[in-house]
Amino acid sequence: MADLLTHLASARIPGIFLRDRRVQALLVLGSFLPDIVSKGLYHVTRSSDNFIVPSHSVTGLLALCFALSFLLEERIRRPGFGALLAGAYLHLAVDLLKDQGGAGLLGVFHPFSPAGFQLGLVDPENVILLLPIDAAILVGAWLLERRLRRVRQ
Amino acid sequence: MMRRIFSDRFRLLKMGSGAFVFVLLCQHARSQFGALHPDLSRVTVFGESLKGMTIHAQARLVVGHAPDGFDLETRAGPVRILSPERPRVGEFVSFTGRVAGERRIEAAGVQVNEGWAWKRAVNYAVSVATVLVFLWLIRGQFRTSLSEGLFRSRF
Repeated sequence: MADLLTHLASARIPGIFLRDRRVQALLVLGSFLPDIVSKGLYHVTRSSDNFIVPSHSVTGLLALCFALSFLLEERIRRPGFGALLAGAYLHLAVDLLKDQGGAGLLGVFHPFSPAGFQLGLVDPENVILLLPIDAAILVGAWLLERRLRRVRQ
Repeated sequence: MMRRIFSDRFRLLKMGSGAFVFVLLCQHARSQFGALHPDLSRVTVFGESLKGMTIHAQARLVVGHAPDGFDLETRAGPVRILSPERPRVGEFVSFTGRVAGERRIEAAGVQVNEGWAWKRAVNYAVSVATVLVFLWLIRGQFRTSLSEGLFRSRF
């Protein structure tokens, strides 16, 4: 798992272009979702690694985001579902960059394919290396967002 | 069509069906991946019947050395990894390999996870802090209506 600060930073980049701050927030929450669900199932219910594969799969996240969108009120449910799902898929894209020792991110396309994929570019545990990069992205996103807001006004 | 799918009509039923599909997928993944890539601890008991199957394991503690490899800790005792690599006792390693018999796995690739214990702790600390700070920052965007089981927009 990459740390959630990295996932926050990755979700803030597309989030800049969203006008609705609630949808922005849901996009970021969606990017946290796969790890919150998988770690929750793993640590709280002691589920096996194989059981939690759908928390990081395209189909599993579709079902999960659909279910969670019904916690939102009707008028923001549809954009909320889209934002949650986009954030969750962004999480998968970031996780695919990780180096997982050859195994890759297993079951991304479960139940259609059990294959694992990885690009092996980042050591996911090296938070110290990723922190300054994340901080730079977050500051850059904040500055760009301020400028965009001024232009829109 | 989309409006109907996301309407309040049968809201709990729709939410439940999404959650149900997710649980079904989890059950399916457990059986599918369990058959393809058995859990490392199963090699301690069913090694002979699992012979030739692929195993992936992440961040396992090295507990000993042998002339033909090194031993990893599992919930059911140590498992021998047949490999020319010699990680130090106390280090964490990730690997992929094939089951070669009871308590024996022939490694195809071994990755030493240097400083895994402290890096993992920092990773969790940063992640928990990120979620808490983010929830605090967006507290103004939503209000909860617990009696309805809803998060409502404040605007």
